[in-house]
Amino acid sequence: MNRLLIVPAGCCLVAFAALFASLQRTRAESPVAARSPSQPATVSAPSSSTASLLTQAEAEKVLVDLKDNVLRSRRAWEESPRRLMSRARIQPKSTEPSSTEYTLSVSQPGEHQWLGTILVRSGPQTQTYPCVIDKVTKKVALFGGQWKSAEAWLEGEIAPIR
Amino acid sequence: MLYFTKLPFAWVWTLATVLASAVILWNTAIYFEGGARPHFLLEKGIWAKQAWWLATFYFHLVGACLCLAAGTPLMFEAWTQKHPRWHRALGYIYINTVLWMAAPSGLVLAFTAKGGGWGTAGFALAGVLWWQTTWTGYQAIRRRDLPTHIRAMVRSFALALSAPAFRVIQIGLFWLGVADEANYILSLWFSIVVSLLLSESYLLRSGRSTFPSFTVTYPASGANP
Repeated sequence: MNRLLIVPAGCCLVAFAALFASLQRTRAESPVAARSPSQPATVSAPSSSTASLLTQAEAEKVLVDLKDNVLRSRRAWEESPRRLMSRARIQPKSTEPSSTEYTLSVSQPGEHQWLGTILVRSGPQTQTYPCVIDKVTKKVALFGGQWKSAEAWLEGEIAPIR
Repeated sequence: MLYFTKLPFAWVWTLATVLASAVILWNTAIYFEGGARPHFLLEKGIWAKQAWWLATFYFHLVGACLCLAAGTPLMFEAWTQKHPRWHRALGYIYINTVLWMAAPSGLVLAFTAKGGGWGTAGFALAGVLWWQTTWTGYQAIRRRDLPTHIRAMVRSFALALSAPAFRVIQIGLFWLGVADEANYILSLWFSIVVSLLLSESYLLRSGRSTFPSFTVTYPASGANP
């Protein structure tokens, strides 16, 4: 291989490294993106110390945040630009206005969990997801065929595009 | 465009190909505009949040755009014969963007492609063939082997055209009511087949095929497509 190819190959390698470093830096600066999807979701309740148990009000706040995130995910899909000749889906899945609700069970099965449900409506379809909030760790797990962390659930189960 | 030489309505096919390539170039603008995340990146889910994947994706995007833009004029034989310097300059850009940007990044992206194993296999095959034909074309011109250079570059650019072919086929199958997932895989494989047919049929028609029964009948010197 001669210089005619080695020089551009080297330039491409440097350009790729620079692009990767720049994206990595951007990602590191964004707290949401920096969290690995495989990490369990920990939702911090407002003004609660880690030593204390999650109160009912704090658990409700957790569920409100979660249902807002569902709508945010739907809205991102509805607002995302697409053009006809792209590799994206030609016919997007339903983009009908979505709504979400939550319920929190007052009666508790044990000392360490709150039980609740997140209800997602999209057009005529309604789906209910049971969820468990750990009072100590404040981790949320949702059931949609199998138990998932809130982030994994938002990523896989609820995204309207897969 | 040389692929449609001696075909009925050659200018219509040429115009359609150039337009489809132009639309692809225009479409890529949405990835650089900022604002809301484009559909394709949303579909990629978790991958589109990884820095290495995004870097590879953008690298592929830029490389593919450059090689489509640089390669299209080279497929007009009369133009390249008239402008040998442009041929060399654009050819240099084309070869380098394919070898170091579009094809390797496409090969990496193949492993996260939609369509499961069939999707990965299709994109990987296209990437390997694209790289190999371009490399063969470069090596051939270095040793001034014009027939091999022409054959390889005709095949290479036909594989580059599998991108617009993919989209056109995808829209066609969508109109025929084929479900999304099946549509994606069928469009991918059909676009590879169409690209191979496009190049091989031209090489056969022009007598430049590698098949022994066809004789090479073009001048051995001067500019080439």
